Amino acid sequence: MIEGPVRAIFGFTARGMTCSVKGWLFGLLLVLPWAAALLLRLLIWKGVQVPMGGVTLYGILVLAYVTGFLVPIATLFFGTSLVADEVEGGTLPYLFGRPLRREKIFLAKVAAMTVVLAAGCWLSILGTYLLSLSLDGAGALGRGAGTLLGDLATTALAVAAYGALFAFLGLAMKKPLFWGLIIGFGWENLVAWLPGFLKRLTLLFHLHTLLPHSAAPQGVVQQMLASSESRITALAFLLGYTALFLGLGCVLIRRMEASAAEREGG
Amino acid sequence: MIRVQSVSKWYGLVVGVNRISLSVEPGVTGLLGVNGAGKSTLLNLMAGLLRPSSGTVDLDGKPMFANPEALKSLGYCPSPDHFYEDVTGLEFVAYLGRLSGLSPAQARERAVEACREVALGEEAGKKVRAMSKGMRQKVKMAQALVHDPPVLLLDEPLNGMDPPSRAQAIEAIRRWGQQGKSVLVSSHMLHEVEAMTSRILLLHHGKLLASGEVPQVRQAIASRPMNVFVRCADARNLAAALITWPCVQSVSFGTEGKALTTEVTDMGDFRVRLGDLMADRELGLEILNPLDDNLSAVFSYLVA
Amino acid sequence: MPVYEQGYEAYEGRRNSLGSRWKPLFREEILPYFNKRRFVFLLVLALLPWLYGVALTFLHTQLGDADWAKDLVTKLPVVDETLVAKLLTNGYDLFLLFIVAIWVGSGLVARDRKDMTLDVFLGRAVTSVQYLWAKGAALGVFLLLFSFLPTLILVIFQVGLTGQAGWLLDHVRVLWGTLLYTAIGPGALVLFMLALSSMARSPRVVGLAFIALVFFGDMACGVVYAITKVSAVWFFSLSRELTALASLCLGAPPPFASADLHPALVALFFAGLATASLAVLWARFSRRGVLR
Repeated sequence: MIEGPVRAIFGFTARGMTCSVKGWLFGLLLVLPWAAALLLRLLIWKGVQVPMGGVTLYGILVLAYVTGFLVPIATLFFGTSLVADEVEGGTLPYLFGRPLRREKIFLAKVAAMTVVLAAGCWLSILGTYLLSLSLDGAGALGRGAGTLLGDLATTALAVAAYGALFAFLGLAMKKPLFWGLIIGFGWENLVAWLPGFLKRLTLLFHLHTLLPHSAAPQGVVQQMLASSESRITALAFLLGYTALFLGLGCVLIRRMEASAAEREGG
Repeated sequence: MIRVQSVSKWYGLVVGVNRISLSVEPGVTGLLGVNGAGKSTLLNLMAGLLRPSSGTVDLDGKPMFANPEALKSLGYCPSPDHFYEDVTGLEFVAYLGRLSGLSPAQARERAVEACREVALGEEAGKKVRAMSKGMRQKVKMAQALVHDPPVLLLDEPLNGMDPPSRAQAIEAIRRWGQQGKSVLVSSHMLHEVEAMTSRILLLHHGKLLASGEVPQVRQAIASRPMNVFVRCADARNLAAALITWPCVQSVSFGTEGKALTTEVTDMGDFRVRLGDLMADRELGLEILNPLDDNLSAVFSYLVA
Repeated sequence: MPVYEQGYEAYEGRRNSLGSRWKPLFREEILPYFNKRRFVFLLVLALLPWLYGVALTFLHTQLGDADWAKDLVTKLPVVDETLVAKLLTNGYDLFLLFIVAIWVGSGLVARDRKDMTLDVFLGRAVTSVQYLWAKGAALGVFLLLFSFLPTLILVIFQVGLTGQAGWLLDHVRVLWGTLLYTAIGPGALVLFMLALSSMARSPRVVGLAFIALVFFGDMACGVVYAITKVSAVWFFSLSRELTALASLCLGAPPPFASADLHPALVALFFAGLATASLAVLWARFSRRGVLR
């Protein structure tokens, strides 16, 4: 049974994420794949020669857009803000002054972010799936159901792993955005492509192993990335990283000080 | 009872508070000090937000820092004007009530009650963003009160309030004290604190300077010997007169013989006698300078 | 009792020339960064690809005549406008350029708004124009360090190692082309960051907005291009526009195999970006004395 205070933080954080300018911006990012699928439909309807079908477009959008861009950027956006917003806004003393273990505050916030972002990504993927695959007939929708489920599960895992990473950075670093960019878009994109063991230190490598798309044109990339580990290993790595970042975040928040003093204060 | 034992807090090389020991009894206690005296640091330590560099802060034997068991009995109203701006005052108070373990229904009910306690009235339904400074102060007080804690720490709660609101807040704080809550209120205005209680703690440069009832503290401060530097043409004659006065404890000469430093126990009496002496004799007084600036500043605050 | 008119009148101060009052603000904005080891490290990182250019120069000038190395050296690219355009806009250096734009630029105005110091600055004898000039110049200096300075170093090495000033005369476009690129591309970036920074109180939010806009622009263009294969969609990608701009300014061949951007489109993009940014700044600063 989840405690009342934890539910309250969860609800408050989720509400803050959805009913805000940030939430609307996130909503805009979610509908881009729908727009792309609609564009493809429009071109086909107009009789324009298009270079791909619905299945391929869906694969590209999930692989490149959702897991390669949307999840990292949204978790960077919201994850680094979870505690940093409270610190910047001076509201942390209200939370830390309450009879609630700080680890629970942190975990409730991360959980709220994960649920909201995963739900948003699922919505985006589901819409894209329907709009793209229906181009190839109703049968394609049924045939791709397994792929869809795999995508949904992997995306949720991606949100959890990236969310934990950026939430931890938001706690640990003075400039979480800078480090988030370096790690999320520099390290992740660079090292995930290198041969050898180093790529296992990225989330992207393991996520690509889990994504069920292997058809062209992304197949080459997929093979390069995923050829050297099994899905079980990838899952274990991702869960391990998520647990590690959450654990480190809990340790940090337990030791954190939250002064309500202002420079002009007494 | 909240107890602070030999607590110090350093920020790097800067001392926030230095070896402070005190306890807060039921009733209202005023925490007085000028800006930078360490009031907010002390309250943050007592609220479990800061970890003491040395010493202990506990509530009924339970350490305060990040300890939910101890925080159950505490309500803290911070000094800075920070809020979740996009919620109403009532929602803000109810949310923090829920974090204190109240059920949603209880939190709503208690939030309404707490807002009424601080005379927030209908304004509680406004968005915090749209509230005046005085109303925001009241919201902060209400959130400290929402879970009905036996210990309240209020950091400059009257800042920014207009006179009627101030009077209402003072009345509320007195009432909580009478109800048996231990209330510690910080301020740099003695008259504000005196309106709530006669019991004060005096903080200066991070140290506890004095504590007790206001008249006692006034007397204690006034009776502490004070060093006064005097420079005049005939210092030896002046010294001969000073040494006979009961308010003078000692006299010492400087190197050049024209200046002396005297230790005075009653500054008022000293001033009267010196005035009379100047009227009687031609001593050529050039400089009269109390050397204990800190003490005189505190003294000024106390008698202001 | 007389009742007085209660309206407010906007202050219509005289427009002063830029003067020197912006200089303290400018100094305060740039000096702290040189004490930050992480920032200096970033600068060094940005110079790494240029070391490749220096190495090429060395190989061509020192080993070009050696029999054993001649075959190898002739296969290596020479130091010219094309190489400089590539070095200016390779993905790695563009990423660092964006990082610096975020690091330095996101807090330019937002930090002052958050700390309430904007009131203090604009309440003095510093006009909005002087204030914005100081802030923009600070970011501009840092962007120069990531674009013009490496080019200059490369040119100095080239001329120094060959001992022939003639190379500079033959390739003078490398210098003025880089300057032109810096003035247009990173210049528009400065205005864009100033505008974004004036729209929020939190530097972090500004940084995130920049990332979202730039990366989202690239991603959206990529998706639409994949569907339509129409190269004009790259019009909305800042990194592509910067790459195309560098090629145009330096007279290098277009870098994209399938999506060449027309010079007029590139000019339109940067003019639009600068105009939109200036419009935002004008709206934020001109109507009221002090932003809150």
